[in-house]
Amino acid sequence: MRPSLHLLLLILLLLTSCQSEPDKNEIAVFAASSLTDSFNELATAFEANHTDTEIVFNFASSSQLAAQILEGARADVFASANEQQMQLLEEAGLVEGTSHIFATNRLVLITPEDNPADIQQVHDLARANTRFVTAVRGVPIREYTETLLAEYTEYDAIIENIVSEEANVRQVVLKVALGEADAAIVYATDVTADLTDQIRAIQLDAPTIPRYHIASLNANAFTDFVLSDEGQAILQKWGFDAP
Amino acid sequence: MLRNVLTTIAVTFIIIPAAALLWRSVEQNAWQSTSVEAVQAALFLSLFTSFISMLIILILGTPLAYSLATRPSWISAVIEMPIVLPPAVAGLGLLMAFGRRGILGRWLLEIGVSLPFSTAAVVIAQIFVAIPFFVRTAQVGFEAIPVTLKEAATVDGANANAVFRYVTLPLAWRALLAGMLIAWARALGEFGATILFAGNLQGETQTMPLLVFAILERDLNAAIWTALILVGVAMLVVILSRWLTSSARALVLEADQ
Repeated sequence: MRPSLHLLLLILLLLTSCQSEPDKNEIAVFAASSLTDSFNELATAFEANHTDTEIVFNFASSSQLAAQILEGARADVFASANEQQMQLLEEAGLVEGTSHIFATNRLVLITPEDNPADIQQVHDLARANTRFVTAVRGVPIREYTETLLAEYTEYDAIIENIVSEEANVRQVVLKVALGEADAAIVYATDVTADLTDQIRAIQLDAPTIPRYHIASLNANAFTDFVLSDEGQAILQKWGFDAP
Repeated sequence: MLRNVLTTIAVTFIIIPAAALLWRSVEQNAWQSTSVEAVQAALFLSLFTSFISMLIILILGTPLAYSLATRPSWISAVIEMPIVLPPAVAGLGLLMAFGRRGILGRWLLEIGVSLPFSTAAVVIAQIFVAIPFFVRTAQVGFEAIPVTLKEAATVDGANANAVFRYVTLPLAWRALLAGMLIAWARALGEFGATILFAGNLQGETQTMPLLVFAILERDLNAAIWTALILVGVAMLVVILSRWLTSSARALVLEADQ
């Protein structure tokens, strides 16, 4: 019995030691899934300047992240793809200071490279048996897509053509890249260099401008870095527009 | 003393999540603010798809389990693979096989069948992950029947079919039922392969586990409520299958004497 107690204590000790390395500060960044690539590069650049600090990420839909934070998840930074999810945290009194718009994006219509359903414009999405994929209600890309489609008389027919509601925008992109879905409306920045041989993007001249909000939930330097000139340059390299 | 402490920790650890779900649902009167329509659609879809899956598993799995029980083979290792496979890998594999660009899916598409995003895809995912649980339990049930019993029947003039029908099945049915229950529970809880391969749409592919995940951030109460139903089903399945396997063992022992 004695050895098993020692073993349990050892395991607990190991677990707590992975939790907090005493000589490294950890900043937990909860960021919208569309920020995955750009924020990873931002973290590398930030850590180069702050060798004593480590950025850890949680990428998911902004709505899921907001729900996790409201349920008590420890986050130091929240970067949301829309205003509503940030407001939820502001109303709950979780935001330190104010939130800032740090980037904007554009909406694009994407199809698989071979475009099996021959989609050229938003109107084509209304054609019968088109496999249109989007995200679950509440996820920012779904809200932006709804706002955009509301301008079209074919709105109902297009909504009828939804074959799946994915958890976040990156899953939506994946379904089109795999060729399972015929089309989706996503952010221009989601069509990264890795995907250009699998996906065709059609620019939309849409009045809907996705705006990204960032806020510190605990004092930290990463939020300032995202808003700095160096941070903005990295975001623009990944296709985001200045706020 | 120490053993008691460790035992208590282990038991508490397993009970707490279910208890927390129950606590939150009571505290927030979850059932009052739940979107009943989505829960109903998911419940119906889950029951419907898992029923079809069980039917197919029974038809395909029983002969397989019987063959493996009488003639042990390396195939049993292959059959058990989905048990240890991460669900995301299972989903990806199904996409590569049955997706529109998949090895078989490409061919299916030519005859006008497209599986992803369909209810059929939900069933395929369930069968893939659940059939090993049935085959494994059924095989153990078949193996537990003493060869002497079957030999005695053969000596008395029964052919292979008659032996199966009058000796094997009556002794093994509880094991088959226990296997069905475990496989059904696994099919009902299937999530990872489904969301990757079948997608998520209310009434079409959104089973109960997918509903829990999809509405978590928008309607926590509906998620908790759906989760509680699944906890209840899990409890029921565990109790029933324990009873079935213990009585199956008793039955075989009795027949052996």
